[in-house]
Amino acid sequence: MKLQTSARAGWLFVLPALLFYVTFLVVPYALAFGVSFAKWRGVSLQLEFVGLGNFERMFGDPFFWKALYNTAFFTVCTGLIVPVMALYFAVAVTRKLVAGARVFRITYFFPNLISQVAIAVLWWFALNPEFGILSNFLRLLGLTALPSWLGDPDWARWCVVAVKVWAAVGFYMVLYISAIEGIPDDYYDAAKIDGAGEMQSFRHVTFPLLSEMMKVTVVFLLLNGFGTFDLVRIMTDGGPDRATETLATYIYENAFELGKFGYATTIAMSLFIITFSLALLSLYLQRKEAIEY
Amino acid sequence: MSLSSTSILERLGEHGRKTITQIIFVVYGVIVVFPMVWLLYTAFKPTSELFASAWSLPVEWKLDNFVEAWSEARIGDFFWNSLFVTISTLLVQLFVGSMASYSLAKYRFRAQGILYYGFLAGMMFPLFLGIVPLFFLVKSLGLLDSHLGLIVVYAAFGIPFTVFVLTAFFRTIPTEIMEAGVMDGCGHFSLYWRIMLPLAKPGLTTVGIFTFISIWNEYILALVLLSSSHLRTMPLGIAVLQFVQFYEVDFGALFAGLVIVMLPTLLCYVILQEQITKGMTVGAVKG
Repeated sequence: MKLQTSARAGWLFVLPALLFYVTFLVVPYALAFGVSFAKWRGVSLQLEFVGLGNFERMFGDPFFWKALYNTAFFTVCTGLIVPVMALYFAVAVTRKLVAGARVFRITYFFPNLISQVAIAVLWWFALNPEFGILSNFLRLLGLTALPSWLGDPDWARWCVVAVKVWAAVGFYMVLYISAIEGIPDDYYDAAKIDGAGEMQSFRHVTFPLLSEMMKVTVVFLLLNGFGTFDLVRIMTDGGPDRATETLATYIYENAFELGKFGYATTIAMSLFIITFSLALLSLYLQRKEAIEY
Repeated sequence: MSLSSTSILERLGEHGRKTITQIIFVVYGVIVVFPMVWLLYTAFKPTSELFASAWSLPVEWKLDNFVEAWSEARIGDFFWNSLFVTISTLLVQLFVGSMASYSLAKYRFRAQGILYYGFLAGMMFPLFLGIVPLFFLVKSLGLLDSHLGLIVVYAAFGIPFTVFVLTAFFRTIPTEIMEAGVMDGCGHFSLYWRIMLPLAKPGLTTVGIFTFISIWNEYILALVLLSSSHLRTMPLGIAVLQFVQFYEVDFGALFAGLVIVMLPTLLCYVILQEQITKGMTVGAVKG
């Protein structure tokens, strides 16, 4: 059609979006590469080029390593726990192994609709050692020597993991449900005729057909985990004793509380290099041809 | 999937497994729903009652906390700020994004592929990488600490997702429909505005719902780009309120504020449940 070959009109339609996109995404990201090599206190646009100085400093900064370790800890834990739980729920719901599946399907998704800030404050309350529901529940069971949860460095870490899992499972469950519902019934009928029970159908039909989706979501969870900010900032503010500090909260602290903009961006670069490698990994995994039914 | 546990489960038999599954589902359901229910009824009781007995229902169901939250703690102002920012973002992002998607799906010109993948690449970059330069960019444009600044940044960050979903959607609309429009004398813009856009409504709805939920809940960009207290959005307001009430040891308004921030998205979900679940398959890339 004639209209479609008008390059001028085509460009005009794209232009506004391109303008927004270039100004607020492309330019900042491009600048980030430059800034990470500079000493910059943000007073003016004057940058003092320090080459790899920021990186040297970062490698010698014990707080950076701690933040990196914590971030990796949160990411790996959620990356392992969430897919397993979500898959279990999805299979039980779709294979009708549970009564009231529709209700669970809807309610389990609730946490994904709430702001991370609200989730963080809600759990900050629920985990309060005095009036929080967790401590009170355990006291009902007769336990007395209870930890202060978010106030205890070891427990705080696991609390963050638990809340992250709580916040994420529903989303992945719904994703897996839609993937499982896409598997033709014939496959399950055939498995049944061959004498397969529910466990065998899972092992030989559901799991193999879902594995591509699983890999992609695991990588996606990893990417997500490296950006952990809201939950930690509100629930513990990185404490106690930096036990829950993540790269994201450390970047924020350096830039917007200490004014070390150049250094903050250098840490952000390390975050980028890690997530970019993970993204490449995901592309590599997705490269295999999708299974068509 | 560990195989050794399989044998134990198989020995349990069909019935035993079903019972265990049902118990697990109910327990996890309680873990998901109870904190929210607790929050809801605690919002109706004074802090003194909370300390006296954490579980119990309010002695008297009072709206005091909500009144305090809405006016004194200014959650009311933040509510309208959030609504204004969310709706404005939605309009800008959908308009700008749908035009680009329409062009990328239906026009033919060079650099189209680069543009499309260039837009999608935006989903790959962690927000924190660009946050410092973004802050200074917005500052130098004179948009720091303004709703306008926040809206344009939100809209820009929403473009990759919008283009991803809507380009796929426009591609499914047959080109013959456009030809009919040209016969009727439509120009470039009226073809887009009067014919294609109405046909793309399901796609627009999907993007709209997801954008509404994510902007309503957004915290990091608002935290970095806004500083004046009267401009705060809901998540910012809640975070500040938590800080204030923690020192005052008076949590009533905070509980009420949490209920207020959670309600719109939960209601949106209950009403549009089907649509959201359907949209998830296309929206899978966004958390």
